[in-house]
Amino acid sequence: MNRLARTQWAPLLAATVVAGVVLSFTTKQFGSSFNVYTILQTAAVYAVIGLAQMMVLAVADMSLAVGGIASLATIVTGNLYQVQHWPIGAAIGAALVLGLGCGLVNGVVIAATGLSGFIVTLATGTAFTGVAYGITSSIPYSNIASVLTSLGQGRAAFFSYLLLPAIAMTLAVGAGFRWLPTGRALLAVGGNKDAAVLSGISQKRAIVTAHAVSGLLAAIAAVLYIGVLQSATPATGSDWLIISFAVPIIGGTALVGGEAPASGCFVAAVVLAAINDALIVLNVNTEAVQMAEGLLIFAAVIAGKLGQGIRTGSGRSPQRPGLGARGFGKAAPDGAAPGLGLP
Amino acid sequence: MLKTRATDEAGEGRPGVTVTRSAGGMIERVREVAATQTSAIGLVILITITWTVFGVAGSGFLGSFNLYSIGQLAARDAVLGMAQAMLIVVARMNLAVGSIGAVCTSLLGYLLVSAGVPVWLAFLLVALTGVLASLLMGAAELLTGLSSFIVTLAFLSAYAGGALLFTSGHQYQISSSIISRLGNGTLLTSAICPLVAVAVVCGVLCWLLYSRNSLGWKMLAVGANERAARASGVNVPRVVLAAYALSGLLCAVATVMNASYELNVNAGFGSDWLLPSFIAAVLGGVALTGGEISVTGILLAALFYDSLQSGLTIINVPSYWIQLPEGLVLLVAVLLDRARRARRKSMRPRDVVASAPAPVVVP
Amino acid sequence: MRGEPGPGAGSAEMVETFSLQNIWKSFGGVAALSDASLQLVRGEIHALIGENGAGKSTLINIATGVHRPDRGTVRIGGQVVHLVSPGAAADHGVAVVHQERNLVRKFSLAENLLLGRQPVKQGVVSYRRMVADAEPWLERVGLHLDPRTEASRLGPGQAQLLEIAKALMRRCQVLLLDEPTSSITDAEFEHLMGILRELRDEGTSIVFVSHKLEEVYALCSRATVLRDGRNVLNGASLGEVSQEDIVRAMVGRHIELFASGSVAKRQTGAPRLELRNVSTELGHHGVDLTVHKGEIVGLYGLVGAGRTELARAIVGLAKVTGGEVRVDGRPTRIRNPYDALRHHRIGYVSEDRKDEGLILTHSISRNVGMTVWARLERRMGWISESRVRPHVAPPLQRLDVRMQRVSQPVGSLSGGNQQKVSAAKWIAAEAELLIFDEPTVGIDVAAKDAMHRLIAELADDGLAVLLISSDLREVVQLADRIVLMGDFRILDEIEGGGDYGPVSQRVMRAITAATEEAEAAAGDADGAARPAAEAPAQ
Repeated sequence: MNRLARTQWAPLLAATVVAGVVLSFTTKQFGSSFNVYTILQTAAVYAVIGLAQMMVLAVADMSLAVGGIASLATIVTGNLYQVQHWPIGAAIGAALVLGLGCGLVNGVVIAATGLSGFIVTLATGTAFTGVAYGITSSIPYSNIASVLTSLGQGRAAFFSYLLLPAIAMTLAVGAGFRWLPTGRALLAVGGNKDAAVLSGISQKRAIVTAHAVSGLLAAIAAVLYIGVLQSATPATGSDWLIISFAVPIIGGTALVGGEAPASGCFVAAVVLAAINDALIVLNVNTEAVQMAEGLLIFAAVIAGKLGQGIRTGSGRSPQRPGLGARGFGKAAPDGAAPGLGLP
Repeated sequence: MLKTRATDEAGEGRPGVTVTRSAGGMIERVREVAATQTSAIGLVILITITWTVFGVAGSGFLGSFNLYSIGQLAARDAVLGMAQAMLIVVARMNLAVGSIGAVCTSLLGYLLVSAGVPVWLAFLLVALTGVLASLLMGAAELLTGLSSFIVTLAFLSAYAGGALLFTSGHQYQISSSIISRLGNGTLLTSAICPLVAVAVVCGVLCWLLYSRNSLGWKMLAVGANERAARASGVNVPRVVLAAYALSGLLCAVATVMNASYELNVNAGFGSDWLLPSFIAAVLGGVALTGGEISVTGILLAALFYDSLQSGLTIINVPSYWIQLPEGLVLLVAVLLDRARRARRKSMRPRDVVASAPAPVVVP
Repeated sequence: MRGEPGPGAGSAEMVETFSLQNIWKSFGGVAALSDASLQLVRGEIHALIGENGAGKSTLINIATGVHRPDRGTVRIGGQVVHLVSPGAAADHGVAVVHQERNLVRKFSLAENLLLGRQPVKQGVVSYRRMVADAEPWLERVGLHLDPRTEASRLGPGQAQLLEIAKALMRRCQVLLLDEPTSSITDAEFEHLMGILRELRDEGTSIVFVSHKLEEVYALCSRATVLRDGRNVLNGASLGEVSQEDIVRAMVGRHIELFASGSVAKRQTGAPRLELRNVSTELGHHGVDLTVHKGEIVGLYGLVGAGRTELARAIVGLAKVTGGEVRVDGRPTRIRNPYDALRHHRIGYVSEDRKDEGLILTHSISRNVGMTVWARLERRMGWISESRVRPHVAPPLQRLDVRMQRVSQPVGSLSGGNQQKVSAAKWIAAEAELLIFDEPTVGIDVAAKDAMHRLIAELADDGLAVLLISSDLREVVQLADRIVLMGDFRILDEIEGGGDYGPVSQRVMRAITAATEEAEAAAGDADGAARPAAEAPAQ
């Protein structure tokens, strides 16, 4: 319980729950089982999108191609099912393999050139989206397999069935970082590159792995979203950029790498979806939601930074991080931060 | 020679300075110039190839109507590239170019259509808004010490939402003749849009900034090595804020340019500006690590980018395939830039003086 | 060898385990090591001593496979080996514990120990076995902590011990400790000493790099002293050489550059800079320092004394937290180097030439001009190269910078010329107080000479100069007054400008006295500090 209270998202979750309770009393709509289901449906997709970004943030990199990969995966699923008449299982499988492959391409290019993930994924993400638009001639596929529809729209009272795969992914990613040697290697590279490399861990392999898994998760998010939207459109993913960063950052993922709180990601997804919904229920303009997201990211990062400062016993370090950390290069290792000494 | 990299502006050492002069020095100098101009030279070649290929393959590519529309788009993209470059030069980035554009577009539409403000005043207010919106991000970066990536990402979302909120999805039909003549009139020949002149003027001003103004020089210094600039008495926060302000100003200019040929504007404008802004800057040879800029490169890169797009349309590539080459162009651009830099590094003479013949003192 | 005390007075049981013989290494034409050697025998703690730039780090980097020697051989157990990478060195049982800690802060102690080789059971990391595997090694170095503790909770001394445990776990025969004591408490040092002695008794050979001679004497049996990349002492038995001998060897006599030696006493003017009871966020306390116009004040002390840090605080790169700073007699606050230059004409020639002194990718004229743009620009900041050049050329000429063009990137110059450019910047700025921080480290003899002349001339012209240097010879010859620093405070002040012999004697005596005092203080503090350090054990 104590550990729970110390996590970054705990106050946010508490505030959301309180606000939620208040809202469900003041408005009829918010607390309704259908409305909660809508929130959870959105949250499920958000969570997987966030996990995709968190994978790369863990190695102190970033991916702007999450949306692009999702767009392509959506189209491939739709095309193979509707046009090529593949069984839906095979179509989804192909889309996931493709997502993995796209992520692999990103990882290999970044590892081989030493360029920042930012610029590389900006380019490849656009290219992936471009292929998706090209394949479909911008026309969405409307023939959606019943499996996906019933997953996306299905519910038991307020419980959206989409939560099942989302929770499964959260647990899988969390467990992967906790229990797999590869997961530990990714966190070591993100946490202190030099220490990891001196211990014989390959930084390049870590970057490639992180991007590949990120691609796979983006594809999974895309497949889940087809059921929600009941349409496979290349426009999927075009507005995922902010969400993909907001979810892990609000969930407590450090931008400097070395952390991958999967559960935090999930909670942040629920919180964001709830805020989203609340603003709509309260008849606040939908556009305000977008504004709120931006401000929330900002608040979360600052809160995270302040928390860090308190934990390491020093506010702002006298030397700001190197240029790399703020711009395009790799983030500077924080190995030099002063220790606390035990209490 | 609009390439500015602090090593240009050469000239031989002054009389009285000890100079080692050798034939090798002259060759070195020529090589240096060639090396710093590779991106511009390469772009000229690329543009020539593009125009030749599409001129032959697609009918009407070199016609005045098509050239006019290429110029119209390239002018805006060049200004966007400069807006992005202002922050890349100081080793930062501006993800919110499009959102500042959205804010400025909304305001422009409101002022001209709903409020009926005179055009000049609307321009002034829009420019001011662009500057302030960007300055706010700069202040947030300096106060929090966060990376420009995350700060501008947050503001990207906030500004875009704010613009939509402000307009409530309203469309503004701009009817000012000054504005429509700017975006749809002609300059000298029917093949040139007046916006091209706007872009060129912005380019010249930028070039002046980086080659003839101490602010530009300080921006280059901060971008190349912030610690050294600080230790040498450069007021780094002030320079960074200035870079943000200039970036915002150029976003506002791009907004007016965009509005001048679209005329029917809404708050959705700018949502697709991020990519062209990076393509123009990176393809134009602006070092992603900061401390280097090429204004010619940006102008040429924008021209190439929009020529390619137009050419693909002319040869009947369906419009929905257009986004793919955009991504690929950027990818190729960064890879080429990487290779070019690696080569230049290996070419750089190590300890020139140690291996040079005995120095000659020029009286 | 060179007529100096040979490796430990010929005892038969001494087995040589590791040796670096006649190593030469240069970087970009500047020699870092010229014929340096280091021989280790089994089960000894060997001190490696030398001032900044003497070549210690290069030697360590060669021992650990980071650099490869230009000439010379590396032997392990008598066999010639080629250490091509840090990995290869580790495979040969050579481990190094660096000053900067290589820990993954979010990982547990156990996982840091086993980084990259975590025990895996059925494809899954076994934390239970990890803890079990790590525990004995933590015990071994006296870290009585739960192996599951997060590494971010370790203090510097404990982190050091963890690194040692990591090295031991990898079965190292040779352990190099690079200034392990620079940031740990005395109690932690006592503890570290105990561990190192035990390791020694088990047969590990340890190289101990430190500037603190009392520690060296407490711990080591032999010492190798480097100066200018050469051995001054090669494995001298510490029983036979005194602390003063070591200091003299470290500081040494350089080639007579300033043949004239006796600089005429300068006319010093009014105080230019006064620090009164100044304390800083970096840890200075009660610092009083005055620099007059036309005076060179040498700031001398061993590494870690807080000299560079004081300079940074003066120019506003670090915060002054107490006391008073006066410039030209007026109390003032300097918030950043911009303030320092613009309002007080104070310049700082950084010791960190590459990261803080210069912009290597930019031209010479842009680097030198950076400080004068503000003064030369017309309205709205308009400026041109031709306007700047008359201000850039004279200092470059004065310093005789060897270059082809002023438009050439600074990165293409040799180290000595880079240093000259770094100084030229502040001459162009017409600074009235200049702080030189280690102005002659890592540059060739001719450039050194030029820097020395420059500093003397500047003072003759009426500038106030604060000279930070680890080269005592340089300080004694150039400075009018020598201020001794230690432990972030001022220890003493001595008249300079005299003959090297007697002045250096007095400096040595003052520093030794201060060290002994510190030692005594440490002894008192020991009792109090120990329980605190061991508190986390439970």
